[in-house]
Amino acid sequence: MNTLLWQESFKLLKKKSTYWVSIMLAGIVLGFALLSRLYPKVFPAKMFFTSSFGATTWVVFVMIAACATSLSMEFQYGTIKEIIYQQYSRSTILISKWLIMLVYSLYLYLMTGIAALLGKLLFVNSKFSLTDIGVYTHHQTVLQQWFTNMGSNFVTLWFVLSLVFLFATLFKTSTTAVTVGIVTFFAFNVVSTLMFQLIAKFNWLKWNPFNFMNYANQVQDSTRDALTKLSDTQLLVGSLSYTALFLGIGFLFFRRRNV
Amino acid sequence: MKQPILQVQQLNKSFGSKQVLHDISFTAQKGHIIGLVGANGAGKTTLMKAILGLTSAQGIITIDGHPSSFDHHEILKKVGALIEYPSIYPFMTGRDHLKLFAKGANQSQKIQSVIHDMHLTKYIDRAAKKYSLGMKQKLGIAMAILNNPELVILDEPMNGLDPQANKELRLLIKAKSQAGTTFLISSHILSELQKVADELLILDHGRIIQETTMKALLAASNHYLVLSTSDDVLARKVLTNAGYQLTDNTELKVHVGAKANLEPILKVFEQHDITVLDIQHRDENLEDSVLKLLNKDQLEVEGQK
Ligand SMILES: Nc1ncnc2c1ncn2[C@@H]1O[C@H](COP(=O)(O)OP(=O)(O)OP(=O)(O)O)[C@@H](O)[C@H]1O
Ligand SMILES: [Mg+2]
Repeated sequence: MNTLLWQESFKLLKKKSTYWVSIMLAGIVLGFALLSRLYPKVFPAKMFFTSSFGATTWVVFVMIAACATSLSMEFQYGTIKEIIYQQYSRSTILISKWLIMLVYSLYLYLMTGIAALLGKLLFVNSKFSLTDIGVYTHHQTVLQQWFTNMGSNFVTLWFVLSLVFLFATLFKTSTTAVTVGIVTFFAFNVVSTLMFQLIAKFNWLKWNPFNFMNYANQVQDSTRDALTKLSDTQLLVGSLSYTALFLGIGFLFFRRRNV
Repeated sequence: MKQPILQVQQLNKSFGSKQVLHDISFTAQKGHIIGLVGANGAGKTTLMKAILGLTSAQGIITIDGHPSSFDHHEILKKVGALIEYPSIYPFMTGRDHLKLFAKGANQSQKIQSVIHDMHLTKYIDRAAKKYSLGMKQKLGIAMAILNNPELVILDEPMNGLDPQANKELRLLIKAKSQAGTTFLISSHILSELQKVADELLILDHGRIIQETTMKALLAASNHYLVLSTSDDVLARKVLTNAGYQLTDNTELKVHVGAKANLEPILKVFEQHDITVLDIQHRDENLEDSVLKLLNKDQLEVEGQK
């Protein structure tokens, strides 16, 4: 297992994209911090900061691509053979990939978080203080809200990634997995209005997996529970359960995979 | 008898309703070089994949006394392989590949010696996406032998290698097998295989139709003498009368035993005043023998229908 974890990180660190993605994300965060200094009406700094100047959304893009390729590149390059006929079982191979991607996503959150703090200090330090009361929530400081946002977005991120991993094990190309991930994440906002209408009609539909993608939104805007019909805790537990379920199905498929 | 490094018992494999391996059983002793031959689609790659736990199959596979299967194959740490085409990450250098898969003690020394053995020094630090076909192939073989495995499985390793590299590979395989490494090698280049393998498994339509040593197979093959004389027409007549089998109509090709005795032939010629200008030995090689076996099997299969 240690060898596999080492191999996965070795490959990730050998990819040039790993580095320029980091640089670009940091650049975007700082760029948006600058924009919220220049155009405070369009980009209100205090609110914008609580999503690390929009980085949480960009990280979703990056992680969808990273997870999809981490698995499908092995099939594309034929290296999956080299990996499987080592002494390790298919299960440990897949778990190692999950763990390295978990670490990578944590790193991206940390990195963009630091960039956001830097952006605040450099460009919009005078506009607000971390101890101010937050924009939506009247009981949390900006700092607390920032952490809450990151935490809840992270849960939704991994909900999407579990689907990406599932589709990457089902199909050999990364395109399918990437498409599924992106469509799930972005089309969700488009279809959610329709979904809420259906949930209002058929109460049991509130348990459908996509409703749980509202977790991050509801944590930020507590009035949403009128639409989701679920409490924050129910959404959290449900998200984690669905994530585990999708990862589990992918796991079962991968364990039986012929190459 | 010593414990075999590889034992395959009653291996069966189907893709859907199409059975591609039928009751394959064989053993490989330590230090032997086993050639696996068969037509396209005979099941060579599938057999190798099953041994390596890459594809599921029914049957028992034992490596160095330990069972190995699709789910549990810890013992594969003693095995190195190159299947179909080399597994290469385009974004890494050749050396990175070796670093990635090197295991156990003395990793840097293992990497150094495999680079030396496979003559990779010139391009090992270049990105693998810039490699030529043969360079990739050599890197793939290097990855297969990197950790000094006891069993090496190579699927068409000579693919894309130039004559020099071919010869070097042959010598390397010979040297390693003398040190105790076992090789299972599939190849369509039978002339190359003839030079390196000491045992042969001939696979046809997923069945082993012959399991033999290279020596025995070649000894059982046909031997000919090709003669050139002052009067070929007369020579043909007198040889036929003397009971020799002449197989060719354009040249004087005499079928003889494994140890040809020239004297009776020369005597017949002397009686008829025929002068011998040239004598050549022509033996069937591995290619002829294998093709003959495969044709015979084909006829039998058709006969059963
Ligand atoms: N993934 C697969 N799905 C279905 N059939 C397959 C698959 N892989 C191989 N086969 C079939 O199994 C048979 C054996 O294929 P295999 O690749 O083992 O042949 P081979 O002896 O290696 O041939 P070649 O000399 O061309 O490499 C073929 O009839 C092939 O069509
Ligand atoms: Mg093949």
